[in-house]
Amino acid sequence: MTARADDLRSNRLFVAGAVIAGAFVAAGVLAPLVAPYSPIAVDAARMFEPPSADHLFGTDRFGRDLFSRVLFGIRVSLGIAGLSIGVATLIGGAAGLVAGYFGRGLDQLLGRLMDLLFAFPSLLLALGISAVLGAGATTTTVAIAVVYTPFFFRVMRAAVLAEKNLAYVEAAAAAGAGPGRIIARYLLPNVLAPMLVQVVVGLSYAILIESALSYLGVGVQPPTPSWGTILNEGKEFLLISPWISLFPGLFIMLSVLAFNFVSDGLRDHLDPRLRGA
Amino acid sequence: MWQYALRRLIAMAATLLGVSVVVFVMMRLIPGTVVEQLLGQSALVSEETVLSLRQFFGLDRPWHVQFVDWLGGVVRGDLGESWRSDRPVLELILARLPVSAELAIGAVAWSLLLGVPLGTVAAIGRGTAYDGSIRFTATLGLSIPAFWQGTLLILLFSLYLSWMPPLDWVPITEDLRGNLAIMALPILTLGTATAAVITRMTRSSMLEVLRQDYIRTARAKGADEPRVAGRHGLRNALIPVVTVAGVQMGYILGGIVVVEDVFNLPGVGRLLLDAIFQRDYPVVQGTILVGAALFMLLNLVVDLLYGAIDPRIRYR
Repeated sequence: MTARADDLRSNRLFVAGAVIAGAFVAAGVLAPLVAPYSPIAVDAARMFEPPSADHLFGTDRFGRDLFSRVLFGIRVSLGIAGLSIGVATLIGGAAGLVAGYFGRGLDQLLGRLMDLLFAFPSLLLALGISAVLGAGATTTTVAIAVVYTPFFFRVMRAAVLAEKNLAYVEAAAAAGAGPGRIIARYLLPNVLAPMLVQVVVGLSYAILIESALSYLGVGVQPPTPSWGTILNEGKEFLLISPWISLFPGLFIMLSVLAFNFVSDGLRDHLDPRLRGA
Repeated sequence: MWQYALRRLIAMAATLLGVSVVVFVMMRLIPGTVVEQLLGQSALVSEETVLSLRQFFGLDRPWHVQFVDWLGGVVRGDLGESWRSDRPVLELILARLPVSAELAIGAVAWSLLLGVPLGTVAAIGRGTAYDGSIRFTATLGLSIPAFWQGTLLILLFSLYLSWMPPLDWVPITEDLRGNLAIMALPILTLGTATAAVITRMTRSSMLEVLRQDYIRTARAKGADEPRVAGRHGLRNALIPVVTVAGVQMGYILGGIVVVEDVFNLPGVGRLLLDAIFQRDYPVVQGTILVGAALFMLLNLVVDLLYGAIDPRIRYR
């Protein structure tokens, strides 16, 4: 186990990703302490100011401090990503576990249902859900969760199918363990690793979908600062105040990059065939 | 193969039926009905007006009758009419299809042209500086949001290079240069993430293939490295890449909406977005249904392509 942990720590990109992701989470948690201004405080005397010592990232059309907005945006953007992927993992994972373990009719039924959701291009499905439920942070969370539930269903189902006929599971069944005990005690610990990699992958996609929906104007609504929302507000003023559009985009890219490095590192680490690749 | 294609088409029709149920139910979940949406909060409307409007839109009938009626139309190519312009939804979609189709085809084409060679080079030079920088760039390409990349490109070209694309879209058949001037940046933007995914997939698939015994045999026979990599390696490595390209179609179809918004292109994505803002639900419903149908059709085409690449695959 120590040798494997060493592998992961010597993966520079993984470490860099984990550090950046950790810094983002910390900055989001500490936003009220770190941010120099309120993210929604209007200052009519200081509209469209370029970045300066007073306003690190400049100000927007209401004179709001963009640095503070981007910092508070971490909470919104990562919060929605974490919550939606959490819900999708729980629902999709539980359904995949049940479908993979019990098989037969239940597997057929759940499989067909998930196939239906998979038949939609993901952003189109998310847009449709936003159209129905009306724009907002809750809708965005629901939309991303719905889009990713079938994804986690398939990952979990495939992992369970690969494990359930192995000797140790049969031995447990022969020793008299019931389905509940087999799932909780033997299957779950062994399918968590592939799920973990996909959860991190899912997080990076969720950040991208949330920001895309908010950028288009059908996601998080102003004045709540999500990175996509700030970009949406900067659209009109792109050529006169480009800084409004620069920093939130940079933050989106950095956070997605960090999660990608982490998931790549985890995947290489967990898949022995790829080790050293 | 034709038998296989036919069976897949039938299975697809079944899924499409399910998808249309999902879309129909979704649109019925919208709070209020068409009538309330159209009349707004107006309190002056009489009970009779509401009733006659409900009758006009067929909302007084049970929902399963409404569904069968709607589905019957869809099967005949009638997606209903826009509430805003009174024009058939299908006509609206078809009118804007050339823009979106060019965008999608261009994006897929350039992502393959870039991704496959880059992935191959990275795999052959595994562990070298080439490999490292290609992998890093690919991960970067995967992480940059399309709308931000588009924004940066607009900034770069307009502010620093003082070049603005023409404002009015022209078909490629009428004015090639004018069309490309408008479409080059959007195509580049839409294809970036896909190019990154294809680079990564080509690399890992190629690494897998290069380990096989037949590659060693080819080398032992005295085949030179380009032949080993191209004829024996890449051809076998392409199957998973094609699969990924199929899955990426889903990203491309969604990305169209974003990229058309960034570059202000008059395509189907713009139509959908405008319809969402105007609560023009028949258009929203029709566009999403067509998008899902296209996605499924493209995946079928991709599956049929396997046979062309790998003669070992026989459809049954």
